[in-house]
Amino acid sequence: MILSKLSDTDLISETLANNQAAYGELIKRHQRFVFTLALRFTKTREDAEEVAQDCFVKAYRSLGNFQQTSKFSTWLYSIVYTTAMSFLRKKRIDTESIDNEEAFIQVEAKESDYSVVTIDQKIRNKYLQQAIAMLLPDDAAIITLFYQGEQSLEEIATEMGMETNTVKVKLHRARHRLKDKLEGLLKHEAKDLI
Amino acid sequence: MNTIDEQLWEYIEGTLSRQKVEEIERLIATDNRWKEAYAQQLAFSKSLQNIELDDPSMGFNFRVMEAIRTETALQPLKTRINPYIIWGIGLVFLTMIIAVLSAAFTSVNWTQASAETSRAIPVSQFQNILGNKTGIQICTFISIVLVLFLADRLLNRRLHQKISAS
Repeated sequence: MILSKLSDTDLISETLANNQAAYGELIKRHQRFVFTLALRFTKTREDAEEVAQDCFVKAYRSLGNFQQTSKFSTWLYSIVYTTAMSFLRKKRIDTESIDNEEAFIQVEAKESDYSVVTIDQKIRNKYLQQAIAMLLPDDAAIITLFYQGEQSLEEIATEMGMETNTVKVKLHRARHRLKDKLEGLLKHEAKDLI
Repeated sequence: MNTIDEQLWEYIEGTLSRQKVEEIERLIATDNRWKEAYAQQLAFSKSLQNIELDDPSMGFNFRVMEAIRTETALQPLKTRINPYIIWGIGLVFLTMIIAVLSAAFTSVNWTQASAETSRAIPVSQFQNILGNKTGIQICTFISIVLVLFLADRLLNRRLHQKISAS
C-alpha cells in the first residue's frame, strides 16, 4: 500500500487500525503548516517545534474521537490554536499590542512612497515574514490560516472558537496592521540604505 | 458604510453579492482612486498567498513518532489487555467456587448439625498445611505477588497523574 496516495480520511482509518506508519504520513503532510502556525504564536523555532510536536501527539491520542464532520486539517489546526494559547499562557509571553512598544517605529503616513506593489517578490517575502512576526499572535494566526492554510472564514471560526463575523473583522484589522507594519519596515530599511 | 479598503478586500475574496461586484467593477474601471487601491490590494493579497511555509528541523517526524511510541508503551496494561480474557479468568474462578461450595453443601448432613455443635475443630489438619515449610513458602509467595501488584497500581496511577498534569 502506498501511503502517500491515500487521502487523510484513509490514513486516519489506517492509523486507527494500528498502522503507525500511516500517522507518520499524516505528520509529513501537515508538519510544515502546523510548524508555521505554531511559529506565529511562539516566535522561536525551538518553542514552535515543541508546540507542533505536542499537537501531533495530542491529535494521535484523540484520533478515535475525531468525528470527521470537518476536514482533518481544520480539526488539527484547532488543536494547534489551543495548544499554542496554553503554551503562551504558561510562558507568560507578553501579548500586548506592539503598537504601544517603543521598539517599533510608527509610520504616520498611510500612503507610503514605498508601495508594496513595487517591491521585488523575494524581498517582499522576507519583509512580510518579519512584519507577520511583529503582529499579535491572533492576528498572525488568522492571516496564516486564511492565506497559507487556505481555510475559509467559517473554518477559521471553528478552529479559533469564534463567530465567523468576528473572524472577518479580525482578518480585516490584521491585514490593515500588517500593511502598516510592512510599510513601516520598508521605509525604515530604505532610510538605512541611504 | 464600508471603506474602500474593506469593500475591495471582500471583492477580492469573492464574498460580495453579484450586484455589489458589478458596482465595484464599474468603480475600478472609472475611478483612479479605486483602480490604484485595487491594484495595491491585489498585489498584497498575492504576496500573502505566496509566503513560503517554514520547515521544522530534519528529525521532527521521527521525534513525534518516538514520543507516540513512548506514550503507547507507557499505557497501563489494563487498557491493552482484551477484557474478554479477564472475564474468562473470572468465570473460571467463579465456576470453581460454586463447584466447591455445592460439593460442600451437598455432603453436609443437616440433621446431625445440632448434636455436634460442641465438637472441637480438628486443628491438626490445618497445622499439617500451614505448619510445614512448603505452606509458609506458598503464603510468602502470594504475599509478595500481592505487594508487587499493589505497588505497580500505585506507581501507574502516579505516572498517569503526572502525564495528565503535564
